[in-house]
Amino acid sequence: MGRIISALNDRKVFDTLNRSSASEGGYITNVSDEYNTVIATVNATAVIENGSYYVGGQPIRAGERLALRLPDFYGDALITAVKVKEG
Amino acid sequence: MSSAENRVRFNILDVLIVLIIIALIIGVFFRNNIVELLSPDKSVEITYTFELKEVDSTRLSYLTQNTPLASRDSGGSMGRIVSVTPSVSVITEYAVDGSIMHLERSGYYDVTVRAVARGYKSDSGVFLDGEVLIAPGMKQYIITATAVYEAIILSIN
Repeated sequence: MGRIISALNDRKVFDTLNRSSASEGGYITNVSDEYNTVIATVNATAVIENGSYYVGGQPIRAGERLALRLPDFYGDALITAVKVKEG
Repeated sequence: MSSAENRVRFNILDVLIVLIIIALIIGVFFRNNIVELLSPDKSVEITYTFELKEVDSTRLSYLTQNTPLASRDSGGSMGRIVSVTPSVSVITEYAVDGSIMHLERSGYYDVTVRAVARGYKSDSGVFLDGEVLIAPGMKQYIITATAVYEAIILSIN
């Protein structure tokens, strides 16, 4: 699936809902003291098939989830952006 | 040796083989539109709209005019984007007293997309590219070259 060329490791940010009343309620942004979010930029060579890009048989599209395995880590990742450099 | 023994004679098997070879040649020649040729439903231009909920700004930026669309499930073409209308996502929630809260989701957009595709209308529904069924209210995973979207079909013209 390619190589990580940069990674930004930060506390996980998540929203909770305040339902106290219609006037005071709304989403509250929280910062987790337990979990982190890692935003990694990965460089890989893709093949194009029917207008889609594939790396290792996996379609590479923003919004797709994929199982990511590193030498010492295995987890679920969400593709958030795709940039294509032709050639 | 008599001349009758040298004469080439065709039997029914030879005729069948010749017919099969002709059919194969025709099949190869019209392979790309043989379904359309055999179908009684003629291909027409179909304009349809779909809605995307809570799309982040990065994926919104991939939706531009003339971007090709396809079905993630079948890979069939779903035409091209004609127009994109985004608005900030508004979520409806309920407070503990039961009152309705309309909450804006900063950074996320609800997007109405109008697209045009070749397809046909039949008694069993509207099919894009001869294979992707669409109907108002139907959920479709629509892909571009670099993104995937969960879409709800709103209307078909």
